Amino acid sequence: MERNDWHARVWRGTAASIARAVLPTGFDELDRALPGGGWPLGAITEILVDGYGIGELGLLMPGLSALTKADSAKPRKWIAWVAPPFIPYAPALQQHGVDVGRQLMIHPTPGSKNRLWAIEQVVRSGSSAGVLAWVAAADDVMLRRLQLAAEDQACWIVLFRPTDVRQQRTPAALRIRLSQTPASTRVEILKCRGGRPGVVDVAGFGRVIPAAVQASRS
Amino acid sequence: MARVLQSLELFAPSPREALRERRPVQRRAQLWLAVALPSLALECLAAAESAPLTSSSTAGVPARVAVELDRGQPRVVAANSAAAAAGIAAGAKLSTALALAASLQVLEREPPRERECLESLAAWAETLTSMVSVEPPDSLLLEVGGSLRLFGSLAAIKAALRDELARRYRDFRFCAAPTATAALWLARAAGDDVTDWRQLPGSLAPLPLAATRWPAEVQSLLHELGLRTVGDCARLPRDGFARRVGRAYLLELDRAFGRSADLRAGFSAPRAWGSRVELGEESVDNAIFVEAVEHLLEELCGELGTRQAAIDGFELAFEHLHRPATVESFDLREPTFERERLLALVEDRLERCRLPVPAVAVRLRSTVFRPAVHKGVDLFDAKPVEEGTRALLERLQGRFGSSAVYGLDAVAEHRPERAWAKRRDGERRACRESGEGNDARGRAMQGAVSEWTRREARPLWLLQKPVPIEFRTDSLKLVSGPERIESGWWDEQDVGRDYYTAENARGQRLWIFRDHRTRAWFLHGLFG
Repeated sequence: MERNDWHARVWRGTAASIARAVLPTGFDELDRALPGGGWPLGAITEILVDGYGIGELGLLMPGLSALTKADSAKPRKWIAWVAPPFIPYAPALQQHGVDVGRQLMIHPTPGSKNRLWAIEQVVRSGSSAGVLAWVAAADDVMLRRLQLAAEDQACWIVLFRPTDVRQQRTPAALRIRLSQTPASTRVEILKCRGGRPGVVDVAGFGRVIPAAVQASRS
Repeated sequence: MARVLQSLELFAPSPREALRERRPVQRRAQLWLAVALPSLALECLAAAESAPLTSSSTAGVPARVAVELDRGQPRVVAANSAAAAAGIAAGAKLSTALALAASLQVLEREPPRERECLESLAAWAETLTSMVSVEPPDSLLLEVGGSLRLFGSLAAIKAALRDELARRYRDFRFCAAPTATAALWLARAAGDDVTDWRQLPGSLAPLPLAATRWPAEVQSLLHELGLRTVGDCARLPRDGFARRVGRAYLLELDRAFGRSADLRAGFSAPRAWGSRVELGEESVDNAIFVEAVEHLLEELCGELGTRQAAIDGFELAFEHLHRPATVESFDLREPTFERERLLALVEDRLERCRLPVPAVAVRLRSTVFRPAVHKGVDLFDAKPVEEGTRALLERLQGRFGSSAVYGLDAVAEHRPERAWAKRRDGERRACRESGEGNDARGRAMQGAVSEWTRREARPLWLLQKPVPIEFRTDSLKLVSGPERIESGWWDEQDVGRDYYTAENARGQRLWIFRDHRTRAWFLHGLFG
């Protein structure tokens, strides 16, 4: 038997075969590339990005907006921000339709251990729908614990990490890398449970339509 | 003629009242023990002055009185035995008292301290009965009818009470009666115990009116009418007495004689809980501490459970051999009685705290118990979100400090750095009320500001403080702007800035501004 034939006949779980809760990203081209059509809920999403201000938050805004939407059937949960590098600016969050009143800022004392501890507490408390955390170093064991906690509580964990961790193993359901191209933000899907790696260019979010620039020259 | 005679009769009985002779209400046999402390006003002050009350000799004690201003005039409210020997009695003017005893020590009365003394005695008295009532200014009531079987007899209860009173005070009296009011009156008048309902009217009758502590004008009115004792009053027709003297006093008579229910406010001592666990040997091992604390919390929560109480904080002290204990205190965001929650807090703290030297014992002391509030829990949602949030905030703030965790608020304000605010719990409402409650103009203004900020580009990241940058057209490309923001002239923190969105070579989009005054450029945010 030829090897290729054998390979093709092995049943592999695909997006359709695993019913998994997802959160539409709000960007069609990205939704199409992700299994189930959105961010995986109850799991870790790792976003590898160097530097800030290339749309790394803007990419999440439609999702956060949907997560914080008032739903009378369910109690409203928090979005926790663990160790954000700057101030998440409330007026801008409002512009993106995110409920400012459900954002919880947490500034742990320095050390990635403290940050991971805080994330775990947030997830295990069952009071938060999502966690955005900025974590450079994290060991596999700890991440695995977080992944399990996220599954338990159906919580969306987003870890922002530097791109140099891309060689490290990860239990995350999704690992993407962000970079800036002249016209768009490039999303490289590095690892994706139940899906395939790929590259998506997401354009037109948070982009300011260039208006007449009149820098005062005086 | 008959008509004149009738009008001379002060308290003509109405036919209706005369027919309805009130009978004592039958109920569970109650027996009230009243404690009167006639010199409490003085003794509570003397006790604080560390006068050795327990020493038996009274000879060396100087004459001492407690005084109170009565209509601008200082009057003696209590005198010790030396002063009494000099002829000073309660009610005397201070000038009179000083004339009688030149070396008199005069102390000003302090009602809060009297109250404290009474409450401390009441807390002790809870060992005799569950029903203790504090009767300011100087009395205590214990319902001992239910404790008779436990102690065997009234005499046993009285003996216990006498021992404790003697330890605390010199001047005390106590007396038992089937009604609370009767017991109080009898105790004040140093009467004898009454344990039988049938003897009650006979025992109350000879009591002087002073024992009732009715206001002076009431007493002098009765005195003018030729009434000297409680019995004199009780013999009068009821409606006449009510009309002439007051219904309240008739009611009090009824209560004393057991013709009307006599309800007293129960006293319950505020409790805290403390205990200590010896460690087998000196230790710095967290596992051993956790075990000890688990044991302590088990006991504490058992106590809280039986008392339906909760605590809002506690203190852990690690005792060392040759130095003061290391104390860790824990403040809870909301009272709790849950062991798991308390234990989680301790474990978090222990994980981080390092003891300077090994500990030999662990001591736990709770704050004062408060009534527990049991919230309804949804059967299917084992952990309500609010519950989870509270516990989460508690743990996070316990570990990182209370300023490390906060919420966000958008503020209708033109100055970008003031358009957001940190929100700690409870503040949101206050802030909203102050912002919206004012007037229609304020609301319209807020609406306008938010409308305006909605239109303009705002970055998702704001820098803590604007950072000075060097603006070079080759490194920064202006994408949009300017947006002029001039505001804040009224509070002298005014800003005059032109904001632009710029992009640098790395593709980062920046929110920068040029200051109108200094013409310098600053970075204020990032379009994350």
